[in-house]
Amino acid sequence: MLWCGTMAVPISTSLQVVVPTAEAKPDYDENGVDLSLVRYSLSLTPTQRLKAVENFMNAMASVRTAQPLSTDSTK
Amino acid sequence: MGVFDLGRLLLVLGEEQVEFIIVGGVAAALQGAPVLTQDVDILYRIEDGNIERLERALSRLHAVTRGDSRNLPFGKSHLMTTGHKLAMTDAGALDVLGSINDGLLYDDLLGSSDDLEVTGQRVKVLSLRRLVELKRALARPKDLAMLPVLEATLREREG
Repeated sequence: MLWCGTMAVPISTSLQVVVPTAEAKPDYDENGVDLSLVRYSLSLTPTQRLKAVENFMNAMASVRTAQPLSTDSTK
Repeated sequence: MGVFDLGRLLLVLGEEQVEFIIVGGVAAALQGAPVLTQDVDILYRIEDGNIERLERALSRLHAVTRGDSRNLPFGKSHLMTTGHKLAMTDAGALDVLGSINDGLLYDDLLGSSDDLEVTGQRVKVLSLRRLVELKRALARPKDLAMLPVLEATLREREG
């Protein structure tokens, strides 16, 4: 067990080197869709996917209500 | 805590036993597509009992018509119609749809929905395959723009 930041994270001491092969799946499809993002999203549970959408909605709401930084140097 | 609380939105609809299917961008996201959206679309069953339950749920969520400064609540007669009702609730933006794609109702799409467990409860979510078919049929620029991601997700899921 190694300490990583504030959490104890088990890290294997036997590292595996992954060598890409000719059969490796492509990262993009013919339309330019990033398949790594598709695979990541599919790896989540529906609840985690909902949370991701919710986080985006809240971030957008924060941006909408944010006040612009003042450029007046006399203040 | 943020403005949007989609877990609570689904919880209230579930507690009031509203019959609905999640459609649109959130359905795509729940089915695994890496898409983001700013509102939740639900297609509800137009039937007296369900309208009463939906009205209660919307009242608990303090839903008012979005983009209308009069902050009008949703009444039964309005909810009985097949049109789109755009609501702002205290848990986020909610599009309450009586029909989609020029006349498809809840009962038309019930067989094309999956039961998913989301935030500890079972909810009906439109299947990705049906979502792709509907987006393709609508053929609006915003729907066509999302299609490549949905189709790629479908292909990855089905191997």
